[in-house]
Amino acid sequence: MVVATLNAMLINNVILSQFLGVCPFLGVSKKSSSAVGMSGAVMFVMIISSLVTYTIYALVLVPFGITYIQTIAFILVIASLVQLVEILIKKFSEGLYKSLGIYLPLITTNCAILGVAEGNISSIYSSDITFISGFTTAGFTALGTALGFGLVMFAFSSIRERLDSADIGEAWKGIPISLVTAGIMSIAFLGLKGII
Amino acid sequence: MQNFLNNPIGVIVVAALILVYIGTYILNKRTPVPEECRELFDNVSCTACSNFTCSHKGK
Repeated sequence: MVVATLNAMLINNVILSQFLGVCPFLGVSKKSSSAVGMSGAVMFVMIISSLVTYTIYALVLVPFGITYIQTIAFILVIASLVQLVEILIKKFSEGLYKSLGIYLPLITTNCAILGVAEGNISSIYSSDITFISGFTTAGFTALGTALGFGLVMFAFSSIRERLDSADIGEAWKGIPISLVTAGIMSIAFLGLKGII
Repeated sequence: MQNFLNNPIGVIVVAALILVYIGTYILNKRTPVPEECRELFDNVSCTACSNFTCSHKGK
């Protein structure tokens, strides 16, 4: 489980290695506080959606031989789950809604969530392992992926905040220097390959 | 596509999931936003895409 978590967090980082979830990576990383809020919301939804999609795949789609609808089923599950999570947070936790609320609708279109759900099926699910074992591994993979997402979002937003006050050429300001920074971070994360 | 239409269970599962989505969407719309969080939506500034109709689009 620790290996699955670390692997998903550092080695196969969802943003810098798999290039999923790049929209929030570039769009919601201007301020550290926004990046932390977005990461929290992604972590929340990613773990729940991974567990739910794995369960639906293993207990509904495979037994009925309808695995070809997995992508559309996962999209609908994630979209419904985001709505459900938003309702629950609105009702029961004003504080959490204050910090995550505005980011929740954006997560419906976050391809990292769908990528993790699909990745769990292609890399973890097999008829040889028990449901509980696969379910647990899917949960820890989602946790690691979400932590990796949060780590990169926070690091990138901190760098962007410092870049705002840095003395850089006019043509490089904004997105150009951010993309160069993202490229350098991606190369840095390549150095972690081989740890596990 | 042929596979999808020939297997009623696939159609039923997709239809059920669509109904679940519509249900949760309507419920979410009817659930009021907490009073002190209303102004948060006026200050959002997402610049992730160019969809100007999105309520989260940065000004």
